[in-house]
Amino acid sequence: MNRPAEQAIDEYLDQLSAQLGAMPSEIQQETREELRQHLQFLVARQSTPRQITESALRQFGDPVVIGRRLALEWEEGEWSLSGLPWQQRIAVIREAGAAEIAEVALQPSHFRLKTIDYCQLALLAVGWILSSAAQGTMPGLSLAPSLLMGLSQGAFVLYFALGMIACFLEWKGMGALPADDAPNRRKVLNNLIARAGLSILIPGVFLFPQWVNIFAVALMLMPVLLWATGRYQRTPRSRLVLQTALVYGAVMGILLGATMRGIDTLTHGTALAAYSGWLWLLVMLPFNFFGRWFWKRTAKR
Amino acid sequence: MYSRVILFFGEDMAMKDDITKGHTQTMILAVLDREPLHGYAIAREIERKSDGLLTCQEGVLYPALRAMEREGLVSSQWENQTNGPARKIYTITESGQNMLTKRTQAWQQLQVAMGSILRGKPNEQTS
Repeated sequence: MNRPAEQAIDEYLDQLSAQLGAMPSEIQQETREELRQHLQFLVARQSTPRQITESALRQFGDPVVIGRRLALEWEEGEWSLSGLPWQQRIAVIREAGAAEIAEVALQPSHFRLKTIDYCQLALLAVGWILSSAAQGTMPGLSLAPSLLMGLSQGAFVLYFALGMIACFLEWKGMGALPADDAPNRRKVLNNLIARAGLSILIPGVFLFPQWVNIFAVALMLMPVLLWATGRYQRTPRSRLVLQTALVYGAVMGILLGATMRGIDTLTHGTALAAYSGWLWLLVMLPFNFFGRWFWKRTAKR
Repeated sequence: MYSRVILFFGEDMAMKDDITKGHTQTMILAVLDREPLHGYAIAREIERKSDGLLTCQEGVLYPALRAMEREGLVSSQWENQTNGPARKIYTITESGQNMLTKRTQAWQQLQVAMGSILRGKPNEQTS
């Protein structure tokens, strides 16, 4: 017995859409509409009375296989840095520079910044300003001038306050999303966690130096926490933040290790910053590749 | 005799799938080189141009189109239609045309080579 064609098409597309995973909802809707039109043409093409809608759907292919391949192709595109808008690329540079702030802050009190440190901080400040201008975030605009003026403590209090305001606004924004829009809600939650963490940790490092080791460990563990919750794989931005921090931390670790700084004691702040780069390299890199391999295997099955 | 060859990508029916799997993009590029089309029209054009010899599970065209968009071989946009909803139309890019030229040359070379292997070289044939 023939089912109504539209009902059969909807059921077919539901099976396919279930495979689209973390694809943004607007892209899923576009894809669904495009495939619906093709299926409607196929059904309309059936000229023999005995033809049933299911034969047209079979001609289109297994919805699970097609859905997984579409999701895989979207994931492949999202892994590419070139696919990101320039604002997000600058945001990646900015957030990776937080490691640089921690590394400088963890220096012992008698340590004097060298020219290379000022150059790195200037680069961070420029990136922070550009990113703030692109995303309209006030905390960055308050922090960058402070770095250039020599790390004013008052600016970090302002950074913390503005960071908390930004977190509140993000939380309100997530409440405005549809309840079933899981991908975008996860994305906003991920950004909120990262923003809250940095808003607390970075001022804390500067304002409470007696707790500097605790803050350094917490900063070091943040990417591990993001990996453990599986959230970092969900959005291209969070993945690239970790990948960039990975490379950045590894390079810093190599440079610091090569100059024999911070290897005297594990409690030394510079050693923590250097080792954090290696920890990220040893932990995140294999799981990064494992995550991609696992995703590809399940998508092609 | 089974004259109609049905190609099920990923399944082995009348022809080994590895022969055709790599050529989906080439067929799409060749079709789009003539005019921009939407997905259903691409499938029908492939069927028409091959005189009905090549048909496929048409849904697999879309992952191929996504991959080609990502690689910059084709571009797409939704176009409003006077008699129906908007449709997504695919257009070949300059990179896609260059790729089509390369693949056409490679295919022609393959044809010559395979022909020689399957027939045997003239001076080795026995009468």
